[in-house]
Amino acid sequence: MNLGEIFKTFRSRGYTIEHSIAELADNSLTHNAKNIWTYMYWSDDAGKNSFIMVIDDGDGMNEDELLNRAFSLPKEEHVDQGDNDHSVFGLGLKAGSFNHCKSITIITKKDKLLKKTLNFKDGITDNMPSCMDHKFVKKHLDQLKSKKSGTIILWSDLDRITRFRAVERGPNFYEDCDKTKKHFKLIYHKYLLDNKINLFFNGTEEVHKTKKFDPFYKENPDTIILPGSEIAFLKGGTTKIKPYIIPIDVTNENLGKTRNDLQGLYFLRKNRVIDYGGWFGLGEKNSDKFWGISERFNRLRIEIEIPIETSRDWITDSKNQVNIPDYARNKIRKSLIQVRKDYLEKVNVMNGENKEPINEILKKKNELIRMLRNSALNEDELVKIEKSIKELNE
Amino acid sequence: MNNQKNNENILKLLLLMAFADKVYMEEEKDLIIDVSKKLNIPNKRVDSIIDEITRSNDHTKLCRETSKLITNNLDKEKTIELLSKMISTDKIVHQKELFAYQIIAEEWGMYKKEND
Repeated sequence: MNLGEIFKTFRSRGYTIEHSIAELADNSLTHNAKNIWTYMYWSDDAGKNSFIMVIDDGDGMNEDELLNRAFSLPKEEHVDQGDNDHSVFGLGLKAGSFNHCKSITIITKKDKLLKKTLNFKDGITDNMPSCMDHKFVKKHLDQLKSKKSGTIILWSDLDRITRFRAVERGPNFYEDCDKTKKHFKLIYHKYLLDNKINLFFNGTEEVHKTKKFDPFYKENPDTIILPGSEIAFLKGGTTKIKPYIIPIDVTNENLGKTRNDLQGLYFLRKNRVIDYGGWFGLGEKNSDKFWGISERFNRLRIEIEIPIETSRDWITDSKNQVNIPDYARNKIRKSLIQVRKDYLEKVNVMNGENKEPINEILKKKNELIRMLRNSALNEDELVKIEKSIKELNE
Repeated sequence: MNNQKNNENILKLLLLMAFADKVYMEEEKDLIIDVSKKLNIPNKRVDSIIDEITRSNDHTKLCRETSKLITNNLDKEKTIELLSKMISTDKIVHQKELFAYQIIAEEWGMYKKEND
């Protein structure tokens, strides 16, 4: 059995396209990339010569790293290499890629330029796919030749993507590209906010660059930081819980999800969001009811750091889901019960709901404050504000 | 490439867009007739382009190949403008029309700005 045939057994690990491409971007970050370019190209109706490509300007690989690490099964358990190491199991490139394609080509430069393909038929080979002639690939290959280091990962023969999308294959492919952009904007938001990376999609110009975005609106004066906590686990490691009440009038976040879906927990590992949104099967103590997503809590977003020492207990092997380990559930639940209580108190105070009987003047004042906080007022709203001020003064 | 051939390619892209959702709407037909007159393309030639498109079994490839033949920036801008009109003729934006628009823009390296 050649290496390619071994990797065939990795094909159904539940990776979506965006999660698989994130595995490649994680590798780029691990290898100190500052820029990551992603291309998704749909060639023809059947998608025969289509490809997905991720390029970085990181450290690149030498022959040993390419053949014995990138293109092989890990020989031993992955040992964490520090702050930038986003590998957890050492399988992301192979498992993520082969969920969607039959051939991975790596072109990398460290001390010299190397080109190898790993496919199911031949294992590791020097054969290059036909899409190597495409203008996008050529452009980056030429650039890599003149650069000190970097890596190009190219998926071709996208059999899983083409086979499973009989009718709307092309349009769906670009929808996946859009989803990937949105996914990256959220999962790498800390890197983007800290100017540590630039992420580009389908081009190299400023218009192709992913904009910065903070799901917690930390710099927004209307964001409220609730008291957090630090939890230590007997099994090792600690986690920090940082809750935020996001402003009421945030504009469309353009993440393809509603504000309700985006409430709840955001699990991060080394500043990279692993999983987010919802309450991860947690609920009140001694109750069978889990906390569901609801309008009531849709301004509450909570950052939770996954302990590095015990990451494998928390993260599934496709690295796209968090399962809170049993030993941590109770401690986290306890902390969240307090956070949710604090949240409701704050939100109720802000809504003036704790004042009984309801004071009409206070209600009007609150309404006025809410309107004034909205910087994008239309003419009708301005008239309404003017009228409200007059009424309050009378 | 001569001007006439260029105009035919512009019209071909418009027709590919019109056929993207497999239904050639009356409103689209009207726009095509109007544009073909302005581009001085005789009806007979319009019919033969329609015939070529309906016989093609790979619209994506044909769309990419036709886009590559239009190299002049003014022609590209003119086409983009007409394509936008075509998309909005039936007041519904079809996913396949957007796809056609996307691949043409990709071939020409013309992209809209991210609005988020």
